[in-house]
Amino acid sequence: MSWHKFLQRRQRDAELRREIDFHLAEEIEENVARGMLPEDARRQAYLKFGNPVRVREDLWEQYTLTSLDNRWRDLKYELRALRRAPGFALTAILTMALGIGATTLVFSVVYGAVLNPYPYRDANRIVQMAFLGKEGIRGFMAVNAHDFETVRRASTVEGAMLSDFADPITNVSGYPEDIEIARFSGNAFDFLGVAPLFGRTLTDDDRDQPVVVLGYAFCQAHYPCDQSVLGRKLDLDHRQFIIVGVMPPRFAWEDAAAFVPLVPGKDPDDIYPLYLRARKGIRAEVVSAQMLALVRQFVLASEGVELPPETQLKSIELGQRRGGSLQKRLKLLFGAVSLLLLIACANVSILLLGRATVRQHEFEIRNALGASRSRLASQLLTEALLIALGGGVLGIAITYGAIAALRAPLVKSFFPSEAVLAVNGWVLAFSTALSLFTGILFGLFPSLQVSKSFQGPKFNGRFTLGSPRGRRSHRVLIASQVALTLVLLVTAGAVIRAFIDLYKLDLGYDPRNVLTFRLPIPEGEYASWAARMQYRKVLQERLQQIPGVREASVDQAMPTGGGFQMEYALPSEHFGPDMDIKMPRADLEFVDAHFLPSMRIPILTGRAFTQGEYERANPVALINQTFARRLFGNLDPVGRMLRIPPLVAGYPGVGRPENPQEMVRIIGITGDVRAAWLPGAPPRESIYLPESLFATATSLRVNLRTENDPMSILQTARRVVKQVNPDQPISQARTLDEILSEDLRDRDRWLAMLFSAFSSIALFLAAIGLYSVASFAVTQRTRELGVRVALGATRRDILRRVLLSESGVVLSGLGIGIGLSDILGRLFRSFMSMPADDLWLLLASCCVMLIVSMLASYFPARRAARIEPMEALRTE
Amino acid sequence: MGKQKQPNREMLKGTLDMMVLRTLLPGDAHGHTIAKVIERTSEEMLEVEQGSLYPALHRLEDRGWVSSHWGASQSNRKAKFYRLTAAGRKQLTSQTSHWRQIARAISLVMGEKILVKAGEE
Repeated sequence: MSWHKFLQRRQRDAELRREIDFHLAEEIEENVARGMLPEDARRQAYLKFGNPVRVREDLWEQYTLTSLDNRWRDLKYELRALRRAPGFALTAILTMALGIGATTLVFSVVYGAVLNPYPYRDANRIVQMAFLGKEGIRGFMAVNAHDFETVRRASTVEGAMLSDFADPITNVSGYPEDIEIARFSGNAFDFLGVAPLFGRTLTDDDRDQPVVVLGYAFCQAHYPCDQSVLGRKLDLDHRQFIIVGVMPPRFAWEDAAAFVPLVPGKDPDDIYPLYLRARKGIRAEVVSAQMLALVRQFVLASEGVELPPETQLKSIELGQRRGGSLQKRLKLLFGAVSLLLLIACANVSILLLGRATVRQHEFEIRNALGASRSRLASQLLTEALLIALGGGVLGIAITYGAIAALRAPLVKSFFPSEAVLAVNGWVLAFSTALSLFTGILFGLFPSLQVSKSFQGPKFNGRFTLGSPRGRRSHRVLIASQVALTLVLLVTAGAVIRAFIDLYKLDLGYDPRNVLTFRLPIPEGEYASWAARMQYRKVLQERLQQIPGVREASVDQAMPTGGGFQMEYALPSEHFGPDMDIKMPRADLEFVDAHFLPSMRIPILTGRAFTQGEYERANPVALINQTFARRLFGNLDPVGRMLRIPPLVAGYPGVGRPENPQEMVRIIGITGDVRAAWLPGAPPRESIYLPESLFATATSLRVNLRTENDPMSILQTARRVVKQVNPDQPISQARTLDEILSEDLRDRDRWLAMLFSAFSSIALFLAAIGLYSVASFAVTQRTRELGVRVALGATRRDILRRVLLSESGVVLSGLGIGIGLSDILGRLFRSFMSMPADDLWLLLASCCVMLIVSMLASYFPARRAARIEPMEALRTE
Repeated sequence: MGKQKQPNREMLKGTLDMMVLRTLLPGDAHGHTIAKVIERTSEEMLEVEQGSLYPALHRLEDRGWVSSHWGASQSNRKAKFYRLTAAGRKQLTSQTSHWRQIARAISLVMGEKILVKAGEE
């Protein structure tokens, strides 16, 4: 049977009717010709032909896709049935809408943030090569112009680009400020494969011409961002760059404001960070093995030394530099929302089962009239699919709403700048597939149940809910619902607690009432050590005098972000030659004499360095407690020496005092400072050194501890800085609290909020499930309860009986839930720092679950308790 | 219902199809003519169940053994004429030979005499 005929059957029928009419007319005429009376002739003709309608029906059936026709009829029938039970339909559809909506929302976040975050060509194969140390990444592979050519032609590599960053000072806002820009090798735009919004991108032909391509956000912020911007000039460090192009919004490479050409220098020591695209089908380890071989070769050729044999290189995908914590969080979230969806499915299954029971009579009659079991089961499945699709449509609407409301905060906390959070084709496809899948999932249970119930002996008018089989499936569903809800509650509780812990975490410093900003120093200014020291000194003294400022530090340190990760060494006389630390790294924090007191970082033993020691650039150091314990164990570190090679390395842009020394004496131990974004991680290992030993002339960091609201000081601070140097930009002015909450805590706040939203929905759904089961049970048992009342049961007896009837199921659900949370909790903790097992949390969750389930069955129970025996006995 | 009757109907359908095709061999005809021709040539022995004729015609058309077109009948009414297609011709040949074999087989079983007798008459 073909679709073609199926679709044409109406037309075919009309044709057949004409044909039959003709046939009858001929026959009548013939009969008349034989001499019959017209009336007889007509009658005979019809007698001979038979019933024309029957013939047409035959043919119509021939042209019908029976199964499809049945589906269509089921659909219409179930639509009518749902309309007759709006309460049921609404509850079921809303339940599914919540489940599907939440899942779709999380999927769209996963899609935007993990599956397709970058607009770059084959972005999943773009990697950086990282040198691994004991505590993670030590640095990234960078190459000079000559070696770059070798790397580009390597067999495992499809292409490569060089890119580094610069923060030139510009006047585009009307006052001097520094912006972050990226320098791109000539082939970089080609490598990334993104076309400009307008204008052109940079090419090899640009060499070091002063041309610039703007990022979209920067263009929007400072220009009427259209074609007219092309050809205008942008002042970067007093050099006029011509704007030749603007990139589209998603091209947000490392949040760079703009892109300028990078022409690798001829000096073999000029090296630049390298980005690679691995050849398709080549495993990451193969690429990194080849790169390591190349690095060994480069180092041997240029420096004549062998790289240590234990050197490790690993390819790190875009956005993975800070580890896959985002992925882990999203996985956790997806797990939670899947639980929610399962709970919703169980709920609708319960509702459908109850409804099937109510409709038993209807099914019975239809069965008697010839409807087959499979037909009835498929009808229930149709009903389930209708509910699921209705829920899906509503769920997508919910997703749209949620995304519109949550876009800004979610994007900020979960997404790389390139990613887009939106309902797109993939998301829609996902949620459609999800609706169909869940529809079948929760429809299958009741429809199997119904078809099974017909297998037994013919009905005797008893409803199956009262029968052991119907009860059993209800029990299974309720118990699993309770179990899953408990798991979700416990997990949400753990996440929320982790978040609260994060807020309460003792960071080792006091982040309240601190204003911090950066002073980028234009290139070439204050280049000498003395000039730079003098500049800092004046700034510090003036800022210190601002009313409302308790303490001002002007140096290179900030408590939230580790300082320079640099090498240090211990003189071997302390430990002998077998020390396994060859070139360990620690955070070198270059501070002035005001930093530690103003941050309230305590000095545990020894002393801080004095203003005099600072100004004379005495080689002294303080180290933190954990570091001291690791290095020296029980020995007293004070008075011992550390070797710090960078102090004499003579980096460009760093002013050194006369007679720089690499040996520094430890004079004190400070308290530990913790990273706010890694609760539970060990404290960083820090060495605090007088900033005068390493006076960078590129930027200074100002931290102002204030008496009141720190932001109220900002205007005065700007004025003071301007008095000292009118060309001095101020950038990144924020409070420490703000930095902590926006950058570090927001993600966890949103995680905690989404989790609590999901678990509340789950609790609500579980309550609906329990409520409907209890109400059904009461309805089914009306007669029994009536008899009990008639025989003298008090209302309290009835209330207790009904209330307790579900308690066994709830309790076993809780038991399963506790087991599951234990297993899942271990799983979660394996990839997310979370507080260890918390008995109180588990108890609290169980209590909540119990209370909710009691409430859910209380209302039906109260109804049961009011049963009038006479009425009850009349119900059947 | 009629599960047991099914084979009978099938057989009838098959023979009716064959006869319809045979009737169309000399030239195009409409439903009424086809019925009449079958009745007359069978010396009124076979009365075509006219109700089943039309579904049969449509079935044959679906299989591509006959084609149809609307034209004017002798009585100048609009009628649907059926024509044997090449595929239909082939089908008729194969069905006829099949039918002959069966008829022969049956007559062999029933005894040649009947056949001879029938032949003599």
